[in-house]
Amino acid sequence: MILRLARKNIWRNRRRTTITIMAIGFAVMSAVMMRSVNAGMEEKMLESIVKNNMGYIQIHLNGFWDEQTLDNGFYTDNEMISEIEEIPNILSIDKKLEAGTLSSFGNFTRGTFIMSYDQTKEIPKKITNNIIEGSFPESGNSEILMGNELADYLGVNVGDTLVFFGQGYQGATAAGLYSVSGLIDMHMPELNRVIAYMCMEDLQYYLSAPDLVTALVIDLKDPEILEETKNEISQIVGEEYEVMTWKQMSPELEQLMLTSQSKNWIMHFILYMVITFVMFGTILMATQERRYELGVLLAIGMKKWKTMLMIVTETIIISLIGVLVGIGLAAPVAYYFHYNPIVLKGEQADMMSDMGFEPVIPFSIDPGIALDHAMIVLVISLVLVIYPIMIVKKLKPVEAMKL
Amino acid sequence: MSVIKTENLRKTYHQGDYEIHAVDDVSVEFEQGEFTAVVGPSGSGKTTLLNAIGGLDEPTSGKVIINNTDITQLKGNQLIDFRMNNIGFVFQAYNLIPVLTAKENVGFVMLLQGRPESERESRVEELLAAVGLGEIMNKRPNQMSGGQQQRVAVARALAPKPQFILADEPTANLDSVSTSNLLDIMARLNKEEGITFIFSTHDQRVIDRASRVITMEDGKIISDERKVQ
Ligand SMILES: Nc1ncnc2c1ncn2[C@@H]1O[C@H](COP(=O)(O)OP(=O)(O)O)[C@@H](O)[C@H]1O
Ligand SMILES: [Mg+2]
Repeated sequence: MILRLARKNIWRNRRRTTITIMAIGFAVMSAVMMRSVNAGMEEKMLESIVKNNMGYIQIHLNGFWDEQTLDNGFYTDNEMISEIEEIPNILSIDKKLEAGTLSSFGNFTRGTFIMSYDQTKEIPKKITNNIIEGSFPESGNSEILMGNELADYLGVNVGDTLVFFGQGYQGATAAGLYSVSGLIDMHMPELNRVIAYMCMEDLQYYLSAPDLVTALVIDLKDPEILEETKNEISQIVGEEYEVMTWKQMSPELEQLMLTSQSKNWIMHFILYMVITFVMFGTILMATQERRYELGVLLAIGMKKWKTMLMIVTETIIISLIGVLVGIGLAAPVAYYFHYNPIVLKGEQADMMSDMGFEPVIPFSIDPGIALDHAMIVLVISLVLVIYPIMIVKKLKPVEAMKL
Repeated sequence: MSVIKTENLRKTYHQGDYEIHAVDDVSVEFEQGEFTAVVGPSGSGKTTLLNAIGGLDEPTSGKVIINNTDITQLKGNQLIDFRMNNIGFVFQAYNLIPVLTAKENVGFVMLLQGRPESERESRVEELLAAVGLGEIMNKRPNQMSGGQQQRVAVARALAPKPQFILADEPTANLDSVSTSNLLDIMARLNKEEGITFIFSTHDQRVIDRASRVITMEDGKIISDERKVQ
């Protein structure tokens, strides 16, 4: 009976119902959209740093992280790799080889950090997008990409050939001639002064270490399941190797994310304060408007607890509809901006590029966001419903029905 | 035998420094089947008296005894149930539930009483027919005239088969045709079903139809006349 009355109240008071649904819908929509932008930013931070540079998880020989030398590299074991690939959360495993050497051109010599790229796989955008002159090396041709500032220092131009020499694996001498196919600007001066990219096979050959890698870089399908996946990998690779998550390798990045998240929490708190007031205003209005009607219900014999239950039922139904409306409004917008991210311009864009991010803001379409905020708004409306309940509790029919 | 009896009933409001005795030491009895008009100038205490008799409002002191029960002693839900099962109300402002149709308004109290649907249906239709609204059962209050709404209110008051009906200025907002229409219906119910009516009014035409006229002033009953029929 209560449900029927609640339904009639909702359906036959369309103006009031619409206003309340709009208020709740607006609340859910703004919360979801805001979180969607922030989550999108966070996802992108993670993606652009973690994915392009170091992956979510890396495997090294024990001790490599503390002493990052070639001699702490290891020979890849295909059996181990395919065993790891069987963990459901693994998206990809990439081999990585890095080594310091000297580069020399004319009278200038400079310490250089050579990083490998896997010529058999798609080259990360992080590299291709940052080429400012020339082109990407053709593999197997002894061509390299070079940091622009390193090239400036050495006086190298695209097309020039320079000498690399240094130490290869386990004391071997390394030396070779390489031509510069392109210059790269990583938006990080320290990196631009030392970096060169070479394809994996060339680099292994140069270092007299065929099949040697310094790290296996692992990408995950679901980055949230980090520790569990790490533990699974540890069990496969055993004591000989160290398995590290991005949080261990880059505590600064984790800190940055946490800071961003806590800032967002403050923003959300403020947003929810506003939402709470808007919703409270609507409920206040609706309750005042209904005092009379509630007085009648009590006068003709409806018990107070039933009247309260009726109001709670109405509130739950309206809130649920409002939540659905809000999600319905936010979803297409989030989807649109997920696939067509907002492109930043000017100073903000430069700042983001300097930090190594693409200057775009994609929206997140993680359904968990909608669910979380739907729950929060539902809880808020259930807290706010205390107000009309108190009104009913104190309501005297004679006074409520006075005109 | 009296069905309703008040003993030294008093309701005092405090307004700033002074007291208003809205109902001032009223002792009165109503018999089964009476058709009583309570008259008096505005502010004389008619509404306050009816509300106290109906248990809608708590008196400051005194007793209201209905069928040997002192309803001033009933608490919360007990009082609500007693009211629902024994007293029908008709208010000046109709006081229908706006979201319900005529039919639903009339059936609502029976729904609260947990009566089965078949019983509800037939009684509601019978009552709406009795007040001449068989045609507009499915309209909502805002689609009806004042007279129609008030007739729905009477039908609603009758639905749970109360012993008596309290009506506070039921015709105050009605034109003369609707007024005489409503009075015809009330008089017929009084005569044919023996329902006791107590109604307050200003309206001489309404007073003329009453079998008993109680006149109030400043919260006191100053005259009480039974007409010989
Ligand atoms: N809630 C209230 N607070 C203060 N005074 C009230 C209240 N209700 C009624 N009164 C006063 O009590 C007196 C009787 O009122 P009422 O019973 O409404 O008279 P009537 O129905 O005869 O016009 C009036 O003087 C009125 O001002
Ligand atoms: Mg009055």
